[in-house]
Amino acid sequence: MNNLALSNFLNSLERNGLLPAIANKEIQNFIGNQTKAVGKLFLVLAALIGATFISAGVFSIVSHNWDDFPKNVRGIISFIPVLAGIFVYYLAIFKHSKSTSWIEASSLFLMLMIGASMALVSQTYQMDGDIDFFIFVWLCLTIPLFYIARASGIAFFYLILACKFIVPHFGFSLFGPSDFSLNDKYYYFWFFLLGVLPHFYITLNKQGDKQGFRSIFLGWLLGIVFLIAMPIIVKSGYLWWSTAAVIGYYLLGKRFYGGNISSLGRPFQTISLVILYHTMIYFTIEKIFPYIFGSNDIREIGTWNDEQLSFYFLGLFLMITFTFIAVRQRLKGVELNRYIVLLPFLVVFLVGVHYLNEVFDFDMVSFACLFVNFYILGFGINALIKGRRFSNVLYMIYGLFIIANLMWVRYFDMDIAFWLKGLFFIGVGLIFLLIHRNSQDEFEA
Amino acid sequence: MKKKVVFLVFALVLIAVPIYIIFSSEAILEKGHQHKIHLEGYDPFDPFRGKYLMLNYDFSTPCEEGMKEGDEGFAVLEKDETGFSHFAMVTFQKPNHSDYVKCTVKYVYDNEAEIEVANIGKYFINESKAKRAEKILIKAVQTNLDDAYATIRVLDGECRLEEVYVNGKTLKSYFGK
Repeated sequence: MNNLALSNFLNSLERNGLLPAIANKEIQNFIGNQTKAVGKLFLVLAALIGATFISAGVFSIVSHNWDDFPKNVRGIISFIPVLAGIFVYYLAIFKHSKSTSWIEASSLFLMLMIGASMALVSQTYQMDGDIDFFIFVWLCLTIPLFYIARASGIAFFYLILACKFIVPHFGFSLFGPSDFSLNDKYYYFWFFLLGVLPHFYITLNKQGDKQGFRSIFLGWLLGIVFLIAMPIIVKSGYLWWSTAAVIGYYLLGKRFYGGNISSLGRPFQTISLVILYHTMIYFTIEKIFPYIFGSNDIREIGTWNDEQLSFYFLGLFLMITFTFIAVRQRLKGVELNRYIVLLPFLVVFLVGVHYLNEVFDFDMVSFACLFVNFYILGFGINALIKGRRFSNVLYMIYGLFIIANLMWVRYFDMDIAFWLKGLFFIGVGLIFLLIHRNSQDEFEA
Repeated sequence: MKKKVVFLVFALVLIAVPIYIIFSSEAILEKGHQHKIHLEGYDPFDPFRGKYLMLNYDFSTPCEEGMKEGDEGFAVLEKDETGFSHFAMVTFQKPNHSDYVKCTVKYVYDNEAEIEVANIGKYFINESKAKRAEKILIKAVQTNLDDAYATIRVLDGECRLEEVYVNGKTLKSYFGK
């Protein structure tokens, strides 16, 4: 039902004496505010898309290459994009400072015009230059835009460009051997990621646990980009880092986004649950157990370089710190998922099992994998119970997905007699049908 | 007031960056030593800066012992009796004369390094001239290697592409200017 129809319907309820006038007014106010918020988002999106297309047009005009003009004229022309960008930005922050769409679109336009001016100058002076350096300077000049007028939409383009520093090098050769190497300028990515984090912190509503669209957008963007970049930008101790990410994301989400109503509105908690599941399912596979826990073998610490040492211990430090915070909060009675809080202890236990096997030849790997299976099973059941208790159907689906996925992985790697496996999985299927039967009354009623 | 000062400083920084690039490039083109280097070219496309001719040079150069892939070094330019220059040696130490450019070692084989030198590899050209310019250049290179060359200017390790010559004329002069 659209807003006009809903309004008419409410008025008819009031006329027929079914709804008090005051309640009708309150509901109509609420609907009006909701529409305004979505309308604002529409304005921002329209302005951003407009700024992107205009900038693309400017880049195309730049690409024509006006080499018929003398060099000094071309030098002056080079300043036109950045001056136009500065002028629009000036209008936004001094004449339309209350308009989010003006601020966002002008910031994006200025960001792109900085690049256009640099491209024009380098074209005039035939500088093929270094694309990494070009992007580095461009992004350095973009950072103030996050803080002067606090624009957030540019974060998308900014982080996409920053990802240039994590793209691996693929050397393809028709006749010789092809090569592959990781990007050795990954630290630029760290620099630019850290450059936007204070802006993210500023946008957060620190008084409450509910966030608006801007912080939700930044939460999803930063959460996903860091997650994708992590295998490349973390040079050792990946296990500590991924565990720290699970707990860190969860704590951050719980503190600042916990009051948002949907999973979409709680980016860090949602991402945390996805990484948690993804990480733990690997722990259950016995064949890859030594590769997960054997990477960065601590016995070879003497051969590690400074980069590996610092990442290893920083990851360990972050994991311990977040675990400490989580345990303390849990002891104070804060509602935290116990399976997430216990994850670091599980990881340390599994690392211990690995070294017991490696150093003392005491094989407990099968037992550890079995234990993780039960841990995941417990986590899935816990999600089902909690989802039901809080009427959160999405969380219930997550629980169902965890258990089902775990079982499917086991179906393919369980090395037992087929008849026993068959009976076991028939039993599993019956349990799911039992869950269906128990929930049927509640959801079909 | 504070906001205005911040805005003004930011705007000045934004304008200062192209000014710096222009002035440093002008300094190299005016005061730098000129070198002629043989080349060949083709015609790709840059999404930000338009059409250009990719200029290839002989970047295979003897290097100092111990040099490896990814090392930064200094490529020494030497003129031969015909007036053309070539990269004669890659060193770790900065030479005590001005005829050198900063370079990166791509790979080393048998004490010969394949190097990468910034700012002389692309000749940006108007979109309507690029295809014809490429044909002119390729024809010249195929006929006689001495017919096509680029002039570059080097100053304190930095270099800029000055002009591309084909049969003694600048490439641009083939298009009426």
